[in-house]
Amino acid sequence: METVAGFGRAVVTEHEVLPAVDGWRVDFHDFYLSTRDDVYRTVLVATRHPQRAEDAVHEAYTRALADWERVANHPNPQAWVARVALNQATSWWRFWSREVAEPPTPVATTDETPLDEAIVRLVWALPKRQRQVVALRILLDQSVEETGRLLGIAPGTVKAHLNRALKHLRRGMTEAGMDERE
Amino acid sequence: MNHQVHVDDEAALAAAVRRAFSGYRTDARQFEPTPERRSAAPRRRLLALAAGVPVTVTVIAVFIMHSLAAPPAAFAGWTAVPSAPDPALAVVVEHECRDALPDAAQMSDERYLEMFDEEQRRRVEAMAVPATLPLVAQDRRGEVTLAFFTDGHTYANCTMLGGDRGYAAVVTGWLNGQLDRPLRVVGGIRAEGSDDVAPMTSVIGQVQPHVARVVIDRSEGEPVAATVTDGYFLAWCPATADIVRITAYDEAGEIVETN
Repeated sequence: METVAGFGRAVVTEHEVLPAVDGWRVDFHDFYLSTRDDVYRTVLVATRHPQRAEDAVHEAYTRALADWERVANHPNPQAWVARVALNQATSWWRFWSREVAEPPTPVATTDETPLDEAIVRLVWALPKRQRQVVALRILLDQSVEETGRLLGIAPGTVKAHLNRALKHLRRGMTEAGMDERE
Repeated sequence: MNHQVHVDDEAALAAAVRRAFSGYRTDARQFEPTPERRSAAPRRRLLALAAGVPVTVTVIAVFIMHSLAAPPAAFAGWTAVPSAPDPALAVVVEHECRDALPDAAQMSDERYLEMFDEEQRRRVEAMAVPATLPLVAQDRRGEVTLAFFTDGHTYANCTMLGGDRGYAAVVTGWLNGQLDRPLRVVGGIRAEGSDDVAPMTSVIGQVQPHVARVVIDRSEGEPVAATVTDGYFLAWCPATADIVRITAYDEAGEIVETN
C-alpha cells in the first residue's frame, strides 16, 4: 500500500486499508470498496461505453472524496456518486466517442456463464431509457422514486420502462430456451 | 449449475441480471480531491445538419429508427395545424430534449472527417454546447413534439414522442448569418421510417419579424400550418408526400415569400 504525500491524496486498492490519519478517509475507503463495482456496472449499462464508464466512476469518487464530509452525510451516498458518474458520463465533451455495440468481456466469470452472457446481451440491447432504469433499479438497487429523481422522470415512467425491459428480457430468455418453466 | 431462470419470477429475474453483471468490475484508481483539468480535452463535435446534406439526413434517420421501439400509430394524432401549447408537456419535452441533446454529437473521427470539410469543421468547433441553448419554440401535433433550441448562431432541434416513449432524434447545426429575406429554411429531417417508426419530415427555418404565418404545401394532402415564434418557424408531418412549397404571409395575409 502506498499513501502519496499531499492533501487528501491516496492510493486505494482492493486489499489495503488506509491509515486512519483522518477518520473520514477510512470511511471513504470502505465506501469506495463496497460500492464502486455496483456504480461502475450501473454506468456501464447506462452508457454502453466501458472506458467512459471507468472514467466517469473515477471522477465521481474523486469528487466524493473532495467533498467527503458532506457526501458521507448524504442520505444516499451511493446514489449521489451514481448521479455524478452518470452526469459525467453523459457530459457534452465525452460524446465524441461512440457507444460500444457489443458488451465487453467481464473480468470474472461465474458458473452460469452461458446464461449470464445471454442476459448481458439482452440488457445491452435494450433502449437507452430502459437500460438506465434496469441499471439503477436492479444493479444499483435504488427505489422507484430515487431512480426517477436520478433520471429526472416520474416514478410511473420508471415503472413503465422497467416493465417493458423485463418483458423484453423474459421474451429473449424464453426464446433462448432459458426459461425454467419449459 | 442451472442455465435457466423462472422468468415470471421478477425477483429471480432481477437476481439473474445482478449475477450476470457481477463479473464486471472497475479497476482501483488513484484519487485526487481536486481533480486537474485534462490538458488535451477532446474537441467539441456536433452533428451538424445543413439543409440538403443527404448524408446527415441518413444518419438522423438511422438514429430515429434505432431509438424508438413504438409502433407507427404514434403519428395517428397528427394535425395540419399545431396543437395548443401544453405547459406541462412543454416542460417534459424541454427536459427530455436537453437530456438527449448531447447524443447528437456521437460520431467517430472517420465519420467527422468524412462529413465535414475544413471550413465546416472550423464552424462545428465554434458551435455552442447544444444542451445550453435556449428553447425558442415547440411544435406539437398529436403525440409528437418538435422542439427548437437556438442562441441565434447554433441551433438544435429535437423530435420527441409524448408520454414515456422517449425522444426520437436530435439534430444540431448552425445558422448562416443575417437573415436578408423574409424566410429561409435552416434544416429539418426526413426519416424514411422502419417497421417501428412511421416516416416523417420536419422543417425549420428563420423568418423576418413581419412574417405572421408560414404554410407548407405538400405534393399530397392538406397544407401544413407551421408554428411561428420569435423569428423562427417549425413544423413536422408524416412523410407521406414531398414538401413542394413553403410560403410566408404577413399580418394582412399577403404573401411575402415563396420558397
